[in-house]
Amino acid sequence: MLTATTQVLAEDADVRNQGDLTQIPIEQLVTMNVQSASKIANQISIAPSAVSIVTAEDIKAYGYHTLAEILESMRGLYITNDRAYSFLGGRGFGRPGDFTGRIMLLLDGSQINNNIYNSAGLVYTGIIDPSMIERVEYVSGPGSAVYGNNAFFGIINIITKQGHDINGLQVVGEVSSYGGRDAKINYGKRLDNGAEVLFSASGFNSDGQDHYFPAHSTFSGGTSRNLDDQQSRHFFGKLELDSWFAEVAYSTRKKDIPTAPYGADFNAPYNYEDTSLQASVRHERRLTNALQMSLRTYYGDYEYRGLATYGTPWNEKSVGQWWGLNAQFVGTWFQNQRILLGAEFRNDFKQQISTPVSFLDTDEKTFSVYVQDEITINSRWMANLGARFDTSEDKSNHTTEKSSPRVALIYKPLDTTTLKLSWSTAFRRPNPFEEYYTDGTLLPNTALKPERIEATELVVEHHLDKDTRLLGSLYHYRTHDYIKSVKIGLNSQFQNTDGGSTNGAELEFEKHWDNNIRLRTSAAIQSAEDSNGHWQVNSPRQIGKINLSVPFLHQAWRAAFEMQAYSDRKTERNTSAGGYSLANLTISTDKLLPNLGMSLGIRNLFDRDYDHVAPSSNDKQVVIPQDGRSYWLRMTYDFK
Amino acid sequence: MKHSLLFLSSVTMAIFLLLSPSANAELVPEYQMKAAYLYNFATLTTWPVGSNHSSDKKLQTQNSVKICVLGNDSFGGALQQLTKNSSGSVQITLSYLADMNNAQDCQILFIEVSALDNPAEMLRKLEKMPVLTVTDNLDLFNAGAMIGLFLDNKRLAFDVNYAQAKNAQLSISSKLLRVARKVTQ
Repeated sequence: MLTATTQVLAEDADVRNQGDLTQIPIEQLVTMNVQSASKIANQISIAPSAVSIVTAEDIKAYGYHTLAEILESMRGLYITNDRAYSFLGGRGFGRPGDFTGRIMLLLDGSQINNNIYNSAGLVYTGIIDPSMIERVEYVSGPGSAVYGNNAFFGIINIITKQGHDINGLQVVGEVSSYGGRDAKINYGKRLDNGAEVLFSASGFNSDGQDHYFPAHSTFSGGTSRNLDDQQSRHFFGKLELDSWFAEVAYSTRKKDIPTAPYGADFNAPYNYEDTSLQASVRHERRLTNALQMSLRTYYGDYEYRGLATYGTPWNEKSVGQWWGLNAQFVGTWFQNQRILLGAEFRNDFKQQISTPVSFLDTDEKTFSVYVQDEITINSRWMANLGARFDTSEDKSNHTTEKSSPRVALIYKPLDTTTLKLSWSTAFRRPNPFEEYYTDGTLLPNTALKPERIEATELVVEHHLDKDTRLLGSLYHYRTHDYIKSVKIGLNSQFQNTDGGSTNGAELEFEKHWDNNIRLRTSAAIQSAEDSNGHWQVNSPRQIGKINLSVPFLHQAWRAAFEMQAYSDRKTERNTSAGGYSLANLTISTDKLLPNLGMSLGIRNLFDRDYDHVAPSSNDKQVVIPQDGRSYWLRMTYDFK
Repeated sequence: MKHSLLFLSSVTMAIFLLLSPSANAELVPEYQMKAAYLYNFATLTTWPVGSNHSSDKKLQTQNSVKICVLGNDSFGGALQQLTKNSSGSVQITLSYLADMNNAQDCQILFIEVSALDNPAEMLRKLEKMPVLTVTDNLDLFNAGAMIGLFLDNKRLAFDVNYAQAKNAQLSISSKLLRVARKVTQ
């Protein structure tokens, strides 16, 4: 150990004595390796709201496997896992089993939520492998003013890498607890003509565990055996040339469900299979000095298959397909204004749900226009005005029209400090599942109206120095006609309800030190109530997070530690699920051997027993126990 | 089982820690490298005769080049180092700007963009001025800055917007253009 340290110190001195770089000719400078200065990432999403960012550097340092793990590290967000799907929660939303999530996920600008449940996969159901992600931005607050339907509580913007970020062929292998095996091949290159190509194929298999559920102890001793395994496959391809961008993303995952929800037979065959395909082509062009254009066309395909056992097998299938066109213009014709104009046509041409007792086949067309004006009043004040108008027509010629305005005022009292005060609205139309699905117990409701939200938020952003950022937010959300499942005797139905309100405060601190230590920490307090003043299900009142990563051995290794703490939550049965904290540790290096990288991770480092709140469809479980301490080991080889 | 996996991994890791060759022997800090690039841009660019240079109208193959920084200074002393270097053919002077108003007095302007700035608007004020605009912000480069500095696979690459430089009557040496990653005509 001692020799290694001495060697490192000696080399450190070498760097400093490298002498005067101005004496080295430029031809040689461009071939030398650079130690990148760690910088805090600036937001790229167009929104006058609070934005949290996780970059590829952190995805690598913490070794995140899924989008859910990335989001779990972000301010005020939390994940609820019922061993079927993972649900996102935050700012007063997050009822487990709410497939919609009411958050819009964008992959390089195209919405990936499907048109049956409005859901988007967060775990291995996710559309893309995290090794392909350059950054994830979480923009909290209603976003319908630009993004329209379903940008209800916020948007999550996933930006993928470019070919040169991979620069060659990369092979990754991983083993993890509970029989997890993961393999992927990534290839990326910038060609001589400037084209960027990127491909990735990956597969994950896991055996899972046998789970004991006391509530089911009358059946097979309460243990569900061999009902937790999952398999997923992912493919991603992307091509960029000049101002043309094309990409295709595919994911499929099959998971056995051990919990026997919806009153199904316990310890009997039960699985869900979700398959998504997304494709988009984008063209960007500067038309004149003051006018920039972006055209995008997209296609999406989603299929769900479910199998449950009620004495005999019960099969369900949903298919959603859609395509659309989006044209966006940014004009800087006037000195102090930046004007965004957009128009979108979207055709949800297939929305099918079939169960043994019902078959639905519907479609929907939506046309939208939107405009946003960023006005610089003077060097201290800015205004941001925007609105979007959506009109949609379903198969029975029923038309829904909605407009979503947003107003924001931005004040910069100091060069380092920005205050943003905003009022924004959003809506979400009922999806085919909520409107039409029936299995005999859940009843359809074709009279559902869109649900709406209004939000007022004050955001303060202060840069103590270029690598230190402090973000504070105070917000008030009010929902109307909120769509939720309501019990009617033995049956249930989705209905528009009075909604509720959420008040909250959040604080986030991020710092990068010159020696590449990176810290991100946040605290959120929130009070989410329904219209009767009752605490909302699965909404912790306090959430704290810390992410700290430290390089060691002359920057060649990195240790990354994260901890998340959540206070208690209300369950669907009005009981309380205790608060918990979860810590993860990852040690990684790029240079275990030349071209060979390694990371080793421990999840739930302190082996805490903790539970997530179960969805109401889990009629026997109130909470779902989560995994204890678990390990993973990943090796990455780069062919250069 | 769990514990043996952990133990095994720790041992493997400890062994590799001992064996692992130290990776970063030749790494140059990013902003020291950027400063060195700016120095090269100063020596390999020719500004038009009788241009905006305040003190000496005769300057053409510049004996002295003024580098200005707008926005955050991330260089941490690396630029000051350039001004102390008297052995070279060019004497560098340094100036930090609060806004664009005095930018026309600079030969090289390095711009670090903050979130609220409007890139197109910033560059409009310098249109056709013989100021070599350099940035490490992609938006600003796309909006018309002359040289963009970008990290590319652990190296510092630079792209040149040649048309923009030509418009401003700046002549960038072919020696420089040859090693650029991309030159837009």
